[in-house]
Amino acid sequence: MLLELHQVTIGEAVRNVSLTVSSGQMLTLAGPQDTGAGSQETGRTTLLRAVLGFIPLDGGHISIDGELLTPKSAPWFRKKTAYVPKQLSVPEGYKKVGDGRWTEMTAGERYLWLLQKAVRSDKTLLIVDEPPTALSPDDQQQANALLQEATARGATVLAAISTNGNISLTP
Amino acid sequence: MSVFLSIIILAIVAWKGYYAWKRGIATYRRDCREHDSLREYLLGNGASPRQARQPFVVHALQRAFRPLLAQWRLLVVLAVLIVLLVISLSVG
Repeated sequence: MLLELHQVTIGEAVRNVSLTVSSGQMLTLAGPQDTGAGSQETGRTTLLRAVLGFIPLDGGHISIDGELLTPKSAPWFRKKTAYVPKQLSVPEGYKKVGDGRWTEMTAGERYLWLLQKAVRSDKTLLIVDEPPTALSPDDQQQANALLQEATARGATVLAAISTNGNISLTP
Repeated sequence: MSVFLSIIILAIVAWKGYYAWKRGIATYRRDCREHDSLREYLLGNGASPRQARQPFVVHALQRAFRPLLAQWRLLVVLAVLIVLLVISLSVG
């Protein structure tokens, strides 16, 4: 799956971003880690949400396999997409994530569970936001291995990483 | 008397239904506000808008009707008391 962004602008956070990622490739958006709860989302998260069609663009355009991403076409593209959000909170009693142990899992475990589910799905485009907190070295290693597994099976991966979170994702 | 009885029963059902509806709507609104990340996660993984709202609707329905189900014994006792009262009044 070929993902192309042309001169994408979204508010103040994202300015004239152009990039291309094709099948079997991973592109990482690196930057300082989000300062935590209550802060505004980073430009990386904004950009990822725009690729999913959740946020309208102020300028430029996004295309997937040569087809323009529009509010109408976005649901169709999302069927081929696996999305790993930074954080996921679920209503009490919701058991379809984390094998029913979501509330007992740590932030790192939750992130890895979501990442594993995304990688092991048959989706061809992976949109991976950065983890909510810095991962432990073991978790980082697992995350790297999973992302490499995704690119090895030919998926297109767009991932956000934080530069101060000791994450060393390699394409 | 049966009309009087029906009105009372309907009033109880309407009263309980109103509070169940109110509880359900409040739960739905709170979940949508606090757990919007789940809706986006589901949409981002290919769910339709309807499928993405389903967990919130299910939770709202559970919150709305579980207390009613838990109170069914109380409702039965109340209904029996009303019936007994109506019968005693009609006999008297």
